[in-house]
Amino acid sequence: MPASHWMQFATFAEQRHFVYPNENTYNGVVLNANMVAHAPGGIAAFILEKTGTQTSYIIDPLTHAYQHNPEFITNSAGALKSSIKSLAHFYGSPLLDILGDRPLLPRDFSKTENIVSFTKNVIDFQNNFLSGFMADSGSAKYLDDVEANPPPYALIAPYFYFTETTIDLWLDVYKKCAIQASEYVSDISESKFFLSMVVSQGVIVDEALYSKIADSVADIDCDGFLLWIDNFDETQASTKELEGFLKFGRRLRHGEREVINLHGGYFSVLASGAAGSHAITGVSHGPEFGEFRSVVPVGGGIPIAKYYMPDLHRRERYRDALQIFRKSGWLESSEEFHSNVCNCDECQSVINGDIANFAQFGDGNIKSVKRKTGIVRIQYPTTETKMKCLRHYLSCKQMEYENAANQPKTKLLDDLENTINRYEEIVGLDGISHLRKWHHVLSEI
Amino acid sequence: MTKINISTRNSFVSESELVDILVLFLVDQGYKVKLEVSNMGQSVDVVANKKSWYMLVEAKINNWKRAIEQCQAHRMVGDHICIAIGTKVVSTELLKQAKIDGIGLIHCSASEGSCTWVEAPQKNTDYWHPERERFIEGMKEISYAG
Repeated sequence: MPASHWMQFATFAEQRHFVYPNENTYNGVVLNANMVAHAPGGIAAFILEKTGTQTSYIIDPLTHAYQHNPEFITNSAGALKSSIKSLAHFYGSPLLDILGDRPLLPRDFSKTENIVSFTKNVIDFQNNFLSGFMADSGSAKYLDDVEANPPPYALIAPYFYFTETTIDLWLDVYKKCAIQASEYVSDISESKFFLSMVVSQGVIVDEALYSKIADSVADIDCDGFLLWIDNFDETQASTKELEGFLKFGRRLRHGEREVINLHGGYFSVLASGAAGSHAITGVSHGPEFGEFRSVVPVGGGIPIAKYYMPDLHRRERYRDALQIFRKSGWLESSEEFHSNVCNCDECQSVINGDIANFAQFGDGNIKSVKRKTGIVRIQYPTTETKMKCLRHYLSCKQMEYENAANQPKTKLLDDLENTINRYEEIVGLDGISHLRKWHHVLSEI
Repeated sequence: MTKINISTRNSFVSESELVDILVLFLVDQGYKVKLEVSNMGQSVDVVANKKSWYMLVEAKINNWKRAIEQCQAHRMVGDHICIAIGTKVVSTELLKQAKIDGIGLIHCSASEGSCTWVEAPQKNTDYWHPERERFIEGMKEISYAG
């Protein structure tokens, strides 16, 4: 069974790309609940008009957002972000009782009535909130009743972020919410029911810990999991972390349950298929970013153009990609480039027979930026550059998912090894170390 | 040789102090100089131009390893790549690496308020014309320094 391919909705600027490279590329869209609460009309229209007929959606209830320091959910003026505030009003107590003052704590759920009402509100939001907006959407009149009001692919129970030190503090509340949600969903909906598992990296390298979590939910009647490992960059992870990730996935699968890695790259795609013995079943990523993500938001940094390297399965800064290609002789001609680097529709369109056009993946506008040392001039990628890089990235992703689904394990591992041999002299041992680790970990399964 | 009398200190307080004497040194050598020139998401400290030759210089008070890293991207656009270093003495490790990479080396002395060539840069043949053209075009709006 091929990996289910999901993409996260980030901003409305990228919404037209949920049918790129084609309408059936994505099995589903992941929507954050605060975005749904903030712009329901736009989100409803997006689901009905900008996604493929076979593309489902999930609303991630984001309940973990309220357990962190409130500064992470406030804007630069110190006020609660409006989308987070709107969402909290739907969820009600005990969240509303502490909102903005302090983080949510396990003791806030000491009363059973809080567990019940909070869980119900979280599920109801996912199940009902968008209905009216979909009905009001301009395109609804052209659709039948089911098409005009598609339910979520799965309803997600309230969840909390587990670290090595907080598992024991949150697990009981988590489980109670999960049980409550399971019963409620079975009463009100035919959608699937998922749990969300958000853990720190320390959890996946500690078998006792992840076993404890997996065992605690083994008996809960659910169809699957959303999995999110904090800031888990598969191209930087250690062998032990990669192995732990696979083992944890398998434990959660408990046979036939779905496990979708919310922020994953090519290693996760391989893990979903024969190469990884189906340790997980699906992968989600953002529109070009989001193959790893911190649970507690870490923002900032200057946006720079990045080109996705198909063979290396990661994004490189344009200037680094340029050096690699120049060194390898792949910028001698468009034919050399398409034979050795990428032949996707976007690269063919951009290069258009003239290899000089590759520079369009790095085009930018220069702006003056004030630093402590004075004024510096920095190049920011243009909107057109970002779109070119994005479409190339999405084309590469589709090829990765298709290859992982259609090629046998031996071929997939051979491909990794061939890339290692090919790029070793170009990027050095460090540049391909992630491929070596992936090869090693997947070979051992 | 033009000097700047910056103080009786033995070290630079800021990179801009180093750049000030570097600019005068390069202008003395017949270069036209521009500062903080954008190159593929980075900012080149100094670009020195003579006729159609462009020399990209990274100025560092002491972090030469970072300068070596930054110079790699400059190879895509420049004829010559240099590091201007402000340490009291030029480390043998830096000199060795600069020779291997064909990077020129300029020593800027805080106590002397002047610069000297330590190693001439080799001609860089790695640049890629399309990106070099963009780089040169991008410099047009920047005024000359010195």
